[in-house]
Amino acid sequence: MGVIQLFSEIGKQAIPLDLLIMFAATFLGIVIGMLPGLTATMGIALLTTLTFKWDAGSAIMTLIGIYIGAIYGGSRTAILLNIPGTPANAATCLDGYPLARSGKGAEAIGLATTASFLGSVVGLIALSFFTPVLGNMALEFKSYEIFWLAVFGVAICGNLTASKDHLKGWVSGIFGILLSFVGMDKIQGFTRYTFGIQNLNAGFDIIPVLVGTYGLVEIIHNLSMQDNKEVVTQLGRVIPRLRDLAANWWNIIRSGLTGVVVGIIPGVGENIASYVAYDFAKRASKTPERFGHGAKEGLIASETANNACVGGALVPVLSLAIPGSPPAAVLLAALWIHGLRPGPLLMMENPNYIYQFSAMFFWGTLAMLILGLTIVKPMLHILKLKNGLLMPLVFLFCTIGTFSINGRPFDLMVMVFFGLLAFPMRKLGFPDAPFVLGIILGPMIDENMRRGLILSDGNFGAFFHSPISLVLVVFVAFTLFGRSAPVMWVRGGAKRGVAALLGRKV
Amino acid sequence: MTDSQMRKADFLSAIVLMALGAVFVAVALGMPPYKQGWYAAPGFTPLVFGSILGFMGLILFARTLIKGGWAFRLNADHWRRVRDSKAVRRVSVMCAFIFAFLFLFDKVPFLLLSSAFLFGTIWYFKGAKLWVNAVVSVVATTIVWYIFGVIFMIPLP
Repeated sequence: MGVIQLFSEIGKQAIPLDLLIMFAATFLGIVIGMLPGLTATMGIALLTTLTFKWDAGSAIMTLIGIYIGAIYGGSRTAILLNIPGTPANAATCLDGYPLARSGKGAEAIGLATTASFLGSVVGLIALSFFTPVLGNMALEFKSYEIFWLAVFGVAICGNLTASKDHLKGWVSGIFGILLSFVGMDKIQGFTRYTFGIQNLNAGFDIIPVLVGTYGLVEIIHNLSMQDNKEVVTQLGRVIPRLRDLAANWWNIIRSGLTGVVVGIIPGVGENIASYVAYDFAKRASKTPERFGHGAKEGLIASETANNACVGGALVPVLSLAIPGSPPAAVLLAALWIHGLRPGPLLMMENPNYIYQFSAMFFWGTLAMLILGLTIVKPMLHILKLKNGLLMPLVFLFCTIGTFSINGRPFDLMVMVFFGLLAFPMRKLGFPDAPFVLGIILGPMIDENMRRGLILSDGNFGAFFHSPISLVLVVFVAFTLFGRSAPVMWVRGGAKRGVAALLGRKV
Repeated sequence: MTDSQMRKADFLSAIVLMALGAVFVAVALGMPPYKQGWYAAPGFTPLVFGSILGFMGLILFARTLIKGGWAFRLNADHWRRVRDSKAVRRVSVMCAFIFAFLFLFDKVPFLLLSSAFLFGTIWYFKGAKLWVNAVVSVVATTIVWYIFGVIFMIPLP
């Protein structure tokens, strides 16, 4: 039933003008995603104002195209320059950039594009057929569960990005969480750690932090070296090899499902989805040591998950009117502006709308695949530019992207502060990613920890009551202590025991 | 950085981390209590995470003590190497350009400042020939100004 309705809507929307709008919007989304500092959230917000007077169908189509394009487009700069265009692409840097440096830039972008497409397809299936069911699942996540999920996100990111010394990864994450406490707290309205600086009352905006930590550090790092960049002559093939995709079929499905599940949880966005999927891929890999040095599995996992997360994040938007991620929140507002009423009554008032919405998502996904694969080669010329030319230009984009969020020069100072803080941190082996993730998730940790304690009258046991909490606690414990000597000994013993039962050698 | 250098750097990092943890904890302790209970006070979460940061700094400190990271001495030769390093000079110049750009950002028109910034940095870091540099600086700035200032209507200085 649903399948027929979906295909019927896809057919109805195959009008040249609509398709042109979708392709233009997706292309604009890719460009927004590529520019460090401009995020999907900002792109949707900007285009909501520009499409305000359009009819609802074209306007929502444009915004969906921007959303899909921006989440995907950030992978370009992540792969080519080691600067994630949006927070969702931070995990893509880990393996995408080493692949590009080894002369496989085109292949990395081709793989990222295909993985993003497949991730979007998984998201599309979730959006079309499981919206009511998955929407109810999201309601099971309350303060305790969200707290553990955020802690798990920081811990796992610390593990992944500091594989030689996990302690430094966790230190980065904890430091990021602490810096996120700067500004007014959300429960009592008390200003913390501002030291009388009024501009800090609202805390650190994530965009200047992200641009400073990734963009500025990369600029300073590249300019600190003599300009002896190797010209990449072997670009590699753009269309991914079928055997690479076939070898990763389970990785793609697992990462897609991970992205969807993380996406439907309110407030948790694409950035966590990509790290969680990356970790799962690394744990399941036969060659985990290649992760961080150009492993295709890692690139596929992160890009599949972040685009699957887009579909997942839209599920609670349509079913419960609760956004699953920041860009989805802006999209929800845009739906309201255009007179649509997402929420539990949508299925009763306008039962076909989910399929109309899903059909737009389908065309956006297809546009992303086609545009992504056809505009790869021109993009790779970026790699051939001298650092002395490229980095000042990148700095200008970083600056204007940061300034355009709130239009205040203070954000530029924040950007530079975080750049100058993150540069020595990187040199000393403290990774950037958990630091940034800590700043993103810190408010969520603070709010849910204290709210959970208020709800339980200070009883810490409440954090361990629900089955979801317990599963997440096990994940956190395993992430923190999974490689410690006693656990390894127990695991080794269990492995030997099972092998003995099966009559096999370990 | 070699392993030996990293151990020494870790020793200093550990001290900084313990100090940072102590600062976060000290400020958190000075925050007001919440009427419903100590656990809901604004300083509670910073207290917990500040303590964790200090504890992790302590672990790093203990680790570097065992591995001999404390055994280092800063002498004149070290400072001379830093002073003569080309990388340090390039980073310092870029930082100077950035600070000048920030200082002048809301004082000088965007088109003029950005073109001058691009031209100056590309020239210093030998990114392109002079005429290419001039064209790139003006064209890139104009495109950025047009997209953000005109199309997106963001008020630029």
